Amino acid sequence: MMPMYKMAVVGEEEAVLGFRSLGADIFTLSEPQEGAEIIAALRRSKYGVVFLTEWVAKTVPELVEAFEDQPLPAVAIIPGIEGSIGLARTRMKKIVEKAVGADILFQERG
Amino acid sequence: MEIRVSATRMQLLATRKRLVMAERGHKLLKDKLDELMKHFLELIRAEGELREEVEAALVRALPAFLEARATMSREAMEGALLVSRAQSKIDATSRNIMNVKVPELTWVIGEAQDVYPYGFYGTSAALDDAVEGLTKIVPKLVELAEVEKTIELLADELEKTRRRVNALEYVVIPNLEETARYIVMKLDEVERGNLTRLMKVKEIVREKRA
Repeated sequence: MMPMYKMAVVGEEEAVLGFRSLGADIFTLSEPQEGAEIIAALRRSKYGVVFLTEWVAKTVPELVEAFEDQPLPAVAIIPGIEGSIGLARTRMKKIVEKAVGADILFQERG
Repeated sequence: MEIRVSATRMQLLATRKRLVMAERGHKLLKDKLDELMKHFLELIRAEGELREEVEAALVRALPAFLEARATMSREAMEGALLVSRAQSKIDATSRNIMNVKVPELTWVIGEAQDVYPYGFYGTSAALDDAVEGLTKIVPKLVELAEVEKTIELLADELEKTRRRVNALEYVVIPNLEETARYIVMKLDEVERGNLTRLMKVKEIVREKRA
């Protein structure tokens, strides 16, 4: 049997509502201070994927960075209920810049 | 830069050996960097497309839950979602890209016979649609997470490799070349010194004979 990991979704109530039906672990966040607790909880058990809504990624940037150097969990930013503000793209852009030393990719798309 | 080696033929040979080694290492690392970059760029392109697709779909799917909530009581909705028997799991294996371990993730939903994790009593059709819409997106979402993680890990390796290539190219190799040149010059100088000394001695000897 392959090792199985859990899926977690962190976000504001309305946006994560649907994921509840899929049996993902849901963390709701109302204040930025709760971010540390959530990181600790995510560390405690084995998560394969963690989805953060853009709002969470904006308010608690630590959540995005906490697992950056580990192979798992994979953290991805998803748009919240109001639609995307392009936070995920900004993040990728930063990673590309760090790796390549120049912004070679997104310049034409702005 | 100050060079601290004894100017001997032995040192010269050792330095030249190191230089050859450094140049070989540099070439290998540079090849690795090129290959990594190729993978990286491919992934970045894939990520961009995937993200656009997923975001568009998700922006349509999430509000569906709000609509569903509007058509039924909050309690019924919460209840329906809470009793959910579905269990989202992630199956993770790892893959090797240029010696970087990257995860491969697949979304597994337990008891998959029934996507609607609740009874039909008290729930609306809008909720069914919303759940169905989301279920369709999640595999893509997980794939997106996988690709982004891979990009992250590759970026790290790329940066490390690039730093090594630069260190070899701009520091180690020039230093070794400089050292080799210095030793050669020093040895030539000693050689010239010897020659003049010999000539002088010969002159003295000849004068004595005369």
